[in-house]
Amino acid sequence: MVNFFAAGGSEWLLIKAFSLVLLGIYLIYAMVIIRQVKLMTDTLHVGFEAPVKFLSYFHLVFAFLVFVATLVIL
Amino acid sequence: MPDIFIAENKKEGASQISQDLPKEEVSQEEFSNHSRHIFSAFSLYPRGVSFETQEEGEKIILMLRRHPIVNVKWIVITILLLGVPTLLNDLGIFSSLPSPSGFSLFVTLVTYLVAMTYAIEGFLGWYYDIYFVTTLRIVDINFYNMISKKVADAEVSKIQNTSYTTHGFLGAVFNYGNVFIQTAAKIPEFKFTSIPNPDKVAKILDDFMVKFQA
Repeated sequence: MVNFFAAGGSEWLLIKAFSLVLLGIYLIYAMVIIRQVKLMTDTLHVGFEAPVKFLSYFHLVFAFLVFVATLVIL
Repeated sequence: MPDIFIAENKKEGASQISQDLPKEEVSQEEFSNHSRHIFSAFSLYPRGVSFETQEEGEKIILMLRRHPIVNVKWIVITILLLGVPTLLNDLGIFSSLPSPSGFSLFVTLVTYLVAMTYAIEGFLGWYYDIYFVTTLRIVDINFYNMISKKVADAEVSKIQNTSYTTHGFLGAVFNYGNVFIQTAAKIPEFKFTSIPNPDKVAKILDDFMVKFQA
């Protein structure tokens, strides 16, 4: 078995890979939130649909930016 | 408390009920805690509001959400989460780690992302958890597992009994609690959870029940 932590800095590569996998899953979660908001706004019309939809898309964009930032800065 | 409904005569069909009951005979000012803004938790005759299964001619009398005070928990946790990166920095945690230079930025971004998600879920969970009392039905709309929903309803003519509870310090101070509605419909009991003015809601439903049984 490869010992990453003895490889002088390779442990950060492992952390980076692990973080990217988790953030990738998070991206899927952010897409599910958009689906959730669509379901809610289709079911109920309470006059606040546009801001809620914007919020869900903003969240997805932010999650994507964090993913890219992790790719670059770690 | 003023009467909300005055039945003209007992009607035979639901379609007639939807046309004739209830009358909006009470001025909105008489319900001091009622408001129609988009975040209202107790809205009498809300405007511009509708739901998927609403029938033609069916008018919404009451729109209810849980009392806004229930949002305090997720708001406080979100604020605490937003403060975590600053706290870690002030405690010197970042500088003590043999980490790459961007690690603190990474932790900050991830914490903000988690805080944002938590806040969105907290808000959506409150904002779209709505109870309706309409001219035809009581409707309870629930969203769960993020992509599933449950819409339960019962005709107002099948309401058999209503009761309410207020409990705890916050419930007493902010006047919110649960309303229980027993029905002869498929779903025997409805529970309106943590709604504002449970006494007024129970009174409105009682009024409804009495008028239908008259």
